[in-house]
Amino acid sequence: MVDSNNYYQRLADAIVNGEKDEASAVSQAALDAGVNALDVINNGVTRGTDKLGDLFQNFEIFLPELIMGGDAAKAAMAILVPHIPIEQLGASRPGKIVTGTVFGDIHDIGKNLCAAMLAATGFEVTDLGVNVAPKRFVQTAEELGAKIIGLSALMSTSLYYQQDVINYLNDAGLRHKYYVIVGGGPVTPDWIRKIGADGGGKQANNVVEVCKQLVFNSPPPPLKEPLIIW
Amino acid sequence: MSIENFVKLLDKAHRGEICAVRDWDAQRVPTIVKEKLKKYELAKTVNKENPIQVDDELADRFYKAGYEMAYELGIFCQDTERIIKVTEEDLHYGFSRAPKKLVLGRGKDQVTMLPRRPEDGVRPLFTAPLGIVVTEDIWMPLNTGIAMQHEVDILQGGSLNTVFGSPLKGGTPYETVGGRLQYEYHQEALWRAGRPGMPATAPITSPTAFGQLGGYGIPHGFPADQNVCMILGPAEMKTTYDALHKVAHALNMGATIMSGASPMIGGYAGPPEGAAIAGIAWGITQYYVHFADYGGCAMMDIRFNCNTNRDSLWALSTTIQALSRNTDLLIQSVSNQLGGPMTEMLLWESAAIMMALSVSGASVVIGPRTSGGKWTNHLTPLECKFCGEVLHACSGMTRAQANELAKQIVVKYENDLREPNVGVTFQEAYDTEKLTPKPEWQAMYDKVKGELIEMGMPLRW
Repeated sequence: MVDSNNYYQRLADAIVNGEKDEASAVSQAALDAGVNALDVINNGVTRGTDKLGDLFQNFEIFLPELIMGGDAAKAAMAILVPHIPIEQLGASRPGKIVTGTVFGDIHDIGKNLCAAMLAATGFEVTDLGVNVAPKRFVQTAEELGAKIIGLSALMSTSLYYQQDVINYLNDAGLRHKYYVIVGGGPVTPDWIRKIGADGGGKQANNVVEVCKQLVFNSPPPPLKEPLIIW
Repeated sequence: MSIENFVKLLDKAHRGEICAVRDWDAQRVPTIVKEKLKKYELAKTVNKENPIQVDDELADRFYKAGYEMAYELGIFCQDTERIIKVTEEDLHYGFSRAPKKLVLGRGKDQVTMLPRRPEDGVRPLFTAPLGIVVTEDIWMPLNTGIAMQHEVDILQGGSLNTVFGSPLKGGTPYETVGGRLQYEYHQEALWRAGRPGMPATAPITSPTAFGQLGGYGIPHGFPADQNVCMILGPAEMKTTYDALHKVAHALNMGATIMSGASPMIGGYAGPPEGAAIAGIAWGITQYYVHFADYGGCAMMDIRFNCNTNRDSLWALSTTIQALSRNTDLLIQSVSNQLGGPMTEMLLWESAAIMMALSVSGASVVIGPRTSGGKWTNHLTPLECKFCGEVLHACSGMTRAQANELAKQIVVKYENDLREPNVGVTFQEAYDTEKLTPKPEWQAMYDKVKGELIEMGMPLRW
């Protein structure tokens, strides 16, 4: 009889320890042993990412460990997801998110923290880095078939580019395809409403919750009232 | 020789070791921080019960760790994704060219910045405010009100987010115009306040290089011989082309350069002790990389986005003590409060951080960052005055005295850091014509100041 729990625990440990290769190897070994891929995600990846989140919240680990753990979770998902039947896939995968710091701004810690936590939660995160032009967010989201565009800004003078991305989506007739979430130092609930974004959170863990609710429990974009956890 | 050395530094940014930004953030920085924490036995030295660090030997060990990190790691150029190699010789070149005294401004508003040691009686300078967006309609009365406070030595001014009503978008010609506009507003505010010779760190509205190029050192811009050019780098241990453009521009004019960065507790450098090491490493490196006349660092806790919680007070006081004890440099630091105008929280936070920086040996402190710098127009002259009063009054106190006071002060606000009261706007807290605080805001100031005097802080009425 296959000891599924052994695989789940080893995978969770690999994620917590930020061991990307080990996470891939354990995922493949579980599949080879006949363990259901969705069960591995729900009991192994999720266990690991939940633990990772708890450790970070308690400052028992820090941003580098969170990033490495997110990378390990991503590596596991890359092995496991192709083995999930297509009809189960939609319900189990939060989907793709394109994120970056907007044009005119080179600050990245908050964005990296959110990206790491989203990756650790199972989102497929494409991080475009910093100083990203509005059109590039949209182009990348189109290319990847993303569900969410996440826009970070730390400067009051770069906030406007969050609005520019939404304007671009509207003008290109693409606004209905993407939830747009915004965050960063000067972002407030009023700003989120003012620019017509779909959501935002005060802290990185709030952002993860917003993204989950947008993907799983919200009407199609754009939302009439943004989802804000503050 | 500076400009030639600057070009050599640029060469390093172009020919240095290639490194992906993710490798830098998630591997190089945390690895060397962990190594230094272990080598100098600094892990778990943070002392939450004593928020202001008092141990000289510990501060010196932190300095050694930061010094080694600086030349072993180097600085990451974000635009070229290469490492600017830094040698010990480079560090000492930076130290040797940095002034031991700075005279800023002119006439009766002229001020002198001097190196300080922990517990030094030399008066530190106070720069106000720190990066808070102020709308054009109230920029003049608010900043005039701040300049009128004689506890404020250097005016940084509120950040503009519009130019003549249009959005000031960073990296565009709006920003170039904004740098120039900031000077116009700034000069008028100083004139109205009766302090025309007051120096500035300028222009605050320069998220990229364009604001500085448009407003600093040019005809009808901030005069380079009286005002400080501000150059910031992202965390951890990074610089950018925008920052280096500003350095080149400042060197071209022989301007005074202030450089800074904000290590993050919980970020790439890890725990409070790691952030302190990174702060020291960056603190000493910017005299070489950014040609700083005065440098140093802020500190932010990633959980709260402030530096008034216990971990931040401890890490920042350790960092500034390490720098001020082991160098003759002019050291700057920063306050990041979360409480807003018309809240006691803002005043208690200000008391803690200003006292910590004063007794730790900062030559100049920039603040306040009222309401976390997040809320437009959440800034008043009264907290600027209060911050300056505390900073100046606490020079000469011992760290042990300050630590005992800090223990009593921090409990007044620490439970509110998660959900801070961001207070009200300038218009709600002030009579914007008379430039006087509303009675309830004045009453809060009087109450907190009175309690601090009763606790033993050497403030004066």
